Amino acid sequence: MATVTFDQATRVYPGTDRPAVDKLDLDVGDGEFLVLVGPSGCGKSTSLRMLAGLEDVNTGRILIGDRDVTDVPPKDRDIAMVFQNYALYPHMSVSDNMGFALKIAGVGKEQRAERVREAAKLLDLEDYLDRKPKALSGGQRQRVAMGRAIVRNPRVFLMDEPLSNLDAKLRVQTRTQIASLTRRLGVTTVYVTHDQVEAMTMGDRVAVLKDGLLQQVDTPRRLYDHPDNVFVAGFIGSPAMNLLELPVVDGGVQFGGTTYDTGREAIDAASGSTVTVGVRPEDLVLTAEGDGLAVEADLVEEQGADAFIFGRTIVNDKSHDIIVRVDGRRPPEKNSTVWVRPQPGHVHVFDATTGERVGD
Amino acid sequence: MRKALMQTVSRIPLVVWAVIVIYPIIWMFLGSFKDYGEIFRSPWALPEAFEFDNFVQAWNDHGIGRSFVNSLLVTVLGCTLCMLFSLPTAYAIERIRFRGSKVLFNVYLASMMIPMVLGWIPLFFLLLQLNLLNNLLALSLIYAVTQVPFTVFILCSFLSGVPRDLEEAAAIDGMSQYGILFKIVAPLVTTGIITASIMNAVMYWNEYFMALIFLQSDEKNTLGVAMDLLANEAEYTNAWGALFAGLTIAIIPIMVIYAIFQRNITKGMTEGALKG
Repeated sequence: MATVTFDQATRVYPGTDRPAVDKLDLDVGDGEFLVLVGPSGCGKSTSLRMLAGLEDVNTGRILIGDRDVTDVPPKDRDIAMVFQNYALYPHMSVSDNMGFALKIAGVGKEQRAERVREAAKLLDLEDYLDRKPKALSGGQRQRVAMGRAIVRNPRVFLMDEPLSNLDAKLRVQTRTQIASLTRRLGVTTVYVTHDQVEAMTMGDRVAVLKDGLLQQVDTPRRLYDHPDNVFVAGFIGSPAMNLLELPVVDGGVQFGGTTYDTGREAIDAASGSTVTVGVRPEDLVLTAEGDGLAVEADLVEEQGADAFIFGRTIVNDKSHDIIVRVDGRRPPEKNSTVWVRPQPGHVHVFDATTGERVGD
Repeated sequence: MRKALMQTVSRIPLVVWAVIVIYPIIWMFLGSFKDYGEIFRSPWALPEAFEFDNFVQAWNDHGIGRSFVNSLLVTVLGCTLCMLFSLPTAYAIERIRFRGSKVLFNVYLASMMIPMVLGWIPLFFLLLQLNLLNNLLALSLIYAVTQVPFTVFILCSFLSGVPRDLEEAAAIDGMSQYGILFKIVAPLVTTGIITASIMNAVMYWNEYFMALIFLQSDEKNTLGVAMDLLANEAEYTNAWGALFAGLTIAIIPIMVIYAIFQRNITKGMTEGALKG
């Protein structure tokens, strides 16, 4: 077990000007499950590969425990990695795949077989040990890839979108299995995904990246309730948070026909005459006509317990898309107009120019 | 009905072509069992008895046995050396991007277009100076090197199809670069290795001119040269039966090997084409 530290770690790919990962500072605690999440090209996989030693670190350092591993080859870092496409050796049986690293490390045949058997038992793979990877289903292959990592008993697990090749149902199942397994083993885990649901459900903490820059590292709950900037606010949560640019008025922001009190300090900290206000779809409540914002319901998506209104609203003569969650049993008609306002205390205010959170 | 008819008609030229190609081989094969008189008496008939006198004569008296072993040696050694040189080269060109790797690949490609004839005389003097003339090992080495560009070309297209993740997984598992190449990558490009090796083997087995120039004593002759000598001899000694037997010995192994691996070769050729 060990901590992992990225200390100003930067990666610039040859032939490009912009760093793929820019001065990343990140501490992963001993035994912690940290998820790196972000859209395509945000540098999350590159960060993981830098930690694995598969990618050079141009400036900065990476530490595993107290040891600086920046220039240590992958094999000497005491890590195990699960790849997106599993990277199982196709010409070897499941047990050979799982025991391969031990074999190279010179572990005796019997001890190797014992450790492979233990891992196989843990992952319910005992019946498949003699099969080749091509004779396994996607889920089984995924488990073999996990097994290969577990067998090594590494200090850190690295996982690069290990669930993205599974179908939706299996993904949900495996998600919980992986999370509980790594917790039980108590191994520090760095997990990369582009799926924010995976990030929120699996991670002890989640690091959100964009364009190679770390946006926020926090617990899933805090990320959801207290996003540090507009990007995190819009990225975390499904459906996404509504972000509206609203005029600042005395005592708060102008929310359609009413003034919403955001608190004095938020307004004082904002730099312009408008602020970006974020409200999650579930934090908007239907009100009487003329109270709050008028929303034209373009589409009403009924999901059973909930219904979502996908509509448009006019703010400052500009049309904005807006999503509102309503009771699934009494959804409004399509093409009707509803009036909404945010629940008190559930509004996020961001500076309109910098996108940073203002106020608490 | 019409379609079936069209199909039959379109196959007629192919059948004719197959007969034209196969008939001389069958004729030679049958001739190898006939004695001198029978060859002239009934050249188109089946042999009266399947006797192996001609084979024994060719193998023992005309040096075909010795040449067969020599050919086998240069072919196996040539193929092995060629693969040992080409696989790491192709891997380096394909996977380790270094300054000039693209240029190097193009140099290999371009060298395939240089006629071999141009190398014979310089090679002769080189071998003479190194005291390596009339040496089967030296000939194997030359054979190996002549086919390196072709083999690199074939292997590169196969190697490009091996997922990089596998190599990275092996690197994390603790393999060295050569370990990754020989234990992980090589088994995955077996089709390419077989394809290139068979094509090289056919070339080495049938090669004539370099063997003629670089080998200078009868006991070192490979099959190509030995068959030529036997053919010249047959003109004066009428050892036609022995000649046919010798030819049969010379061509049967390569046909058998080709037939066994034919599926691999055709698969290999198309795979290479698509992934390249």
